Amino acid sequence: MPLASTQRKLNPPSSPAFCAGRKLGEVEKAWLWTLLYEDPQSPSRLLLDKVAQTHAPLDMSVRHLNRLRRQWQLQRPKGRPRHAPERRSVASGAAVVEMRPRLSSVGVHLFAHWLEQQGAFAPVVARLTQATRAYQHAHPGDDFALFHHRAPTLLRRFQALFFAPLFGIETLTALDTHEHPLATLLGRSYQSSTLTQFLGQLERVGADEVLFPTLVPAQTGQITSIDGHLIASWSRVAMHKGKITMRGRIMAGSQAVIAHNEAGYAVFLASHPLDIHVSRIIVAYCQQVVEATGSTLFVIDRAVNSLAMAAAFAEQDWGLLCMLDDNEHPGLESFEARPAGTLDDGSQV
Amino acid sequence: MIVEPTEGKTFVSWGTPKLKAALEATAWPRVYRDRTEIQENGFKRMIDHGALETNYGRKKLVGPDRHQQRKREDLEASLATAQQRVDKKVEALQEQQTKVAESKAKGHGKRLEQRQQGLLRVAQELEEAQHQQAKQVEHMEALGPPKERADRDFRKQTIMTYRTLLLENALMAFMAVLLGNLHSKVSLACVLHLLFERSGASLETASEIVYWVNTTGLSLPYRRLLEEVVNGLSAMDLRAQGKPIRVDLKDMPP
Repeated sequence: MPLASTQRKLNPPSSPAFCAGRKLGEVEKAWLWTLLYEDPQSPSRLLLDKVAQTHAPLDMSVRHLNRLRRQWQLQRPKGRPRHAPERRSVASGAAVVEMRPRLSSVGVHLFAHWLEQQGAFAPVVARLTQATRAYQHAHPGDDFALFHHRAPTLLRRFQALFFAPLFGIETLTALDTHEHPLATLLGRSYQSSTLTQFLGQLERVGADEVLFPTLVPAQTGQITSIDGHLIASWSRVAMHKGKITMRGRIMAGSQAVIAHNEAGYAVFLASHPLDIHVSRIIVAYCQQVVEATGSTLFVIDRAVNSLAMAAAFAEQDWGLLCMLDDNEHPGLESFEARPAGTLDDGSQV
Repeated sequence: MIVEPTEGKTFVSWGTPKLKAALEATAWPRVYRDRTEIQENGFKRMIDHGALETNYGRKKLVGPDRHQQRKREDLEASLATAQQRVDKKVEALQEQQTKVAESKAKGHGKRLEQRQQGLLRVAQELEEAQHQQAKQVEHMEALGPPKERADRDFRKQTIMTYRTLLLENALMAFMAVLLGNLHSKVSLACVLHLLFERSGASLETASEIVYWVNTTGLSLPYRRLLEEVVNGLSAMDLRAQGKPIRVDLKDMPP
């Protein structure tokens, strides 16, 4: 289809205007026209056989096709097929390489193309390859599938994990039970068993530690916000569920301590058991964030509100902005304060 | 730093000297509000479309029993307090014994009686403190040697949470580029719903790739918005395998 990328029309100027009919849609008609345009000498029956072998067979008769050919003035002269002297090459701009009349999650496909254009996965694949090689070197006796994956395989499997939430797939087992367009997106589909094994092998080579640098953007910003997010674990075993548990009970699950930069991009992550409070690990965590990003100003919620914490941060020469617990004061009357000004929204400072 | 809003709770924040030097105090409320938007609301978004709440990996690793460690720490603190109490009582007893001996030597009558009663009371208190200490020691011995306990291995969870963060970062970067080509403001949730979740069709030729987004069932305002988004995508000059990608709208009734 010789179209310029800026043209907004479906068809090239030389092609007729297609409109969806009762039997065939606009896209199907455009596709048929392209096939006929490529090979106008082809008999209709052969053309229908060719269409039947494609991914999107059309339910149409030879008679209907002949009617369309007449309408488009692409009908074949009577007699045996002859080789036209001015036959077009297959590689011409109009040749249909692939046609998908029904495609789910179109936006995800476009997003994937954009990511590919940006080279977003190249650092991830490089780090995974590096981690695999390092593990292989450290454990020469071990042998598992990840050692033998080529870069495209690594990329496809990681992309399958990456795009799964956008198709509404949360747990990997949902790959077996939910319809998803991984096949059209990556060129092949995956069962949950394949990706579970892949994830297990990533865990084995320590991918959880090597991947973080790929999160850090080129410009990290001056201020880093840190917060812990509790992820409750659910099980068939009788247990207290949810984030609010009975006094003295520890919620089953994990705590993801996540750092974001000023622009809102995640820059660091650590997972901890829930019985270890953020205040106990925050100084070591911030040390890692400083090493990764160079940012020494932190904004953290009330979880770290204490004098000891302020002293610990001051000792490291880090800035910390924190909020006083609401239970520690009834209001402005509990402070000896002097007015300093007014904010844009009219609040008194 | 205290902010008294016209309505709502008083916002009281504090900062270390380094923060005071780097950031003017009047900017603190804004910075803290930004954190809420970036993190608290960001987590909600990631739960919605990034599977942030999903648990992965049930493998366990054997490590020190932290429950026992915490109990031991509590008991050690109690034992130290009990020891201090016993020491104090021993001192008090010795002092009282000295006083009784002094009263005896001086031939006190009523005071000697009072001091002997005091001695009995202190001796009883010492006995109670020693009993308490013995109980603490018993508890400590009952805890036994340091134990080990299976703890969850978080490595798979960390990889998958990293995946979610990478996805969110990528979506934000994509949105930033897309919004640069739009006149209206569109939220990520809206783009996910309008564009990412919609079906359509695609056609790849030797020279270009065409994507059609199905507009069936869309209301007129959403259709206009989607049209603008599609125009924005076209302006992004998307390419795959060197071919330009064209995006268009199309009614594709089921």
